[in-house]
Amino acid sequence: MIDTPILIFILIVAVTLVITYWAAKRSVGRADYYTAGGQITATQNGLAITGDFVSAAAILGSVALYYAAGIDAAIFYISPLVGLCLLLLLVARPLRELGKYTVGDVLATKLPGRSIRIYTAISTLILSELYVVAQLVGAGNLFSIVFDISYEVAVGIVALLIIAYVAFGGMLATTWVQIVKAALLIIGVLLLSVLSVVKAGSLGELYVQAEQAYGGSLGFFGGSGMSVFSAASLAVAIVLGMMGMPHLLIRFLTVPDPASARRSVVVTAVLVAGVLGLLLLAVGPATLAYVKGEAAYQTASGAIEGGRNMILLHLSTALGGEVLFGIITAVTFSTILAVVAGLAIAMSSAAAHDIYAVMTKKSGGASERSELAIFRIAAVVTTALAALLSVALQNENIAYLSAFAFGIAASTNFPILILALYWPRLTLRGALAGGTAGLATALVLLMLGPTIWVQLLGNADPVFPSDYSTLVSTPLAFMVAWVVSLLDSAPQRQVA
Amino acid sequence: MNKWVFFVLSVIPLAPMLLGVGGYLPESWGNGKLAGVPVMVVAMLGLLAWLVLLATWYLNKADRGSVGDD
Repeated sequence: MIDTPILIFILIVAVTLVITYWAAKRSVGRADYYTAGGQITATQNGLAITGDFVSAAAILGSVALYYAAGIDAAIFYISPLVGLCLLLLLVARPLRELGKYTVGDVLATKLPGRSIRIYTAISTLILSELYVVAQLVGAGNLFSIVFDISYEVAVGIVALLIIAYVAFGGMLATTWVQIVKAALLIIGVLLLSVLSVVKAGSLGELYVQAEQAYGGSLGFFGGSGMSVFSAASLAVAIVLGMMGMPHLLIRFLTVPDPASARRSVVVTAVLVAGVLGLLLLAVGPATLAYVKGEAAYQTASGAIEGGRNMILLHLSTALGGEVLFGIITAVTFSTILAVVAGLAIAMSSAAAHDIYAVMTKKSGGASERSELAIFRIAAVVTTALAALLSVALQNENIAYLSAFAFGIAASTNFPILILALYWPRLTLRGALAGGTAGLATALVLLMLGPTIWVQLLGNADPVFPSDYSTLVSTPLAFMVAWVVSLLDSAPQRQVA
Repeated sequence: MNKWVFFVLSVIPLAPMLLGVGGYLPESWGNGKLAGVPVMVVAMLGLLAWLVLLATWYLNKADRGSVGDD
């Protein structure tokens, strides 16, 4: 007899592989593999962006934070919506108007020369790889516990599936995997919310039970112990990082026109607000009411069985036994597949279109066939590398790695993109200097922060007081880009 | 509609959350309930709804060409 979670897992894998086969038959050229031919509708793209953005770290991590610190978790719920509003205002339309296949295309229309493409591709590879590693660490830890397999096998299965989706099905397969994930996510969160309230008898009673388990009012902030600087820096990293994450930005190149790009942001905003709102209103309190203090979900030392990322899965067992556990595990699994597939597309297209095609331009240019071959090879290499790194980093905190990836995006890609779109005096040297300054600052302050400087290196006090440096690194990147551009007398721009 | 007005209206929802985390909101605000749900949770849900409404309103304006983003 096969367990319910394994059965649902096999079903999900089968559905995504059928999608990949269907997409592979329809994808022939560069445009199909990179941007699904630009024929995705606004609603489909809105669903796919939801699937692309709401990561396992976001769901499991924010619920775990609610469990530990109550309403402080709102930082993970409000910030993405602010980011979507600013995406709508500042980025969606110009990105679709100027871009063809990659973020490098957009910047190349504003800043001539191949160095900006190569720089953008390298930053895309670095921060996407970091984010993929975070997702794979989550996948490995979770599925090794759920399916009783080794961590390495769990990571290997996810990596092989991602390579299949991206290398054979391209953006079309990835889009539909993300749409399936978004649908499963909405169903899963709705189910958990309804069952939580039904079990308690009413929403008010759910809060009575949750506050008893929490040991205080859930209306008070401050449970996380974060400083205002850390909270603001984290919020800014999420808000601005959304406008710098290549896997999210290239989704706007899959729709036919700028109006569809804008509409897809609003579809995403509605869906993300609905999902996050239910997590805040019902699912978070339910974890306190039905998981906290339950002996079945705790180790002998009182810690959560399987670690904090298991809290949501324990809630599903408490509410619906093995069947609901299987469904929510499948939602989590599809979440990881969708996000990693989106990242793998961003990395592969950047490597093939912004590095390989640009480097071979002088020798006659790359043929579409050879560029697509590099796209597939890049999908294999980047995913395999991320799998190896995730084995080495399997004990790292995935929420921290994810937040750091968003911080880098906010400190490198975001300032360059915004200045290129809205400041005609930005020069190539200014863009490169600003992006490099943002990246270097983010990395150095990470090393000097509490997690690495104190917890990993064993020093007494951190040199930089917070793990989140975006409030420093992003303004610095803007300032350096601005100063260098003003000092740079060489005419740089072809298109103003 | 000025872009800056939309920008400010979009980022304002971050303020109460950050003030709350920093401990700058009056303690009495954490005690209220609305249909059994803490008022602060209702307020956070209100901010989510506000941002969705704001985005929808901006989209309608942009589709009609009456927004200053061009």
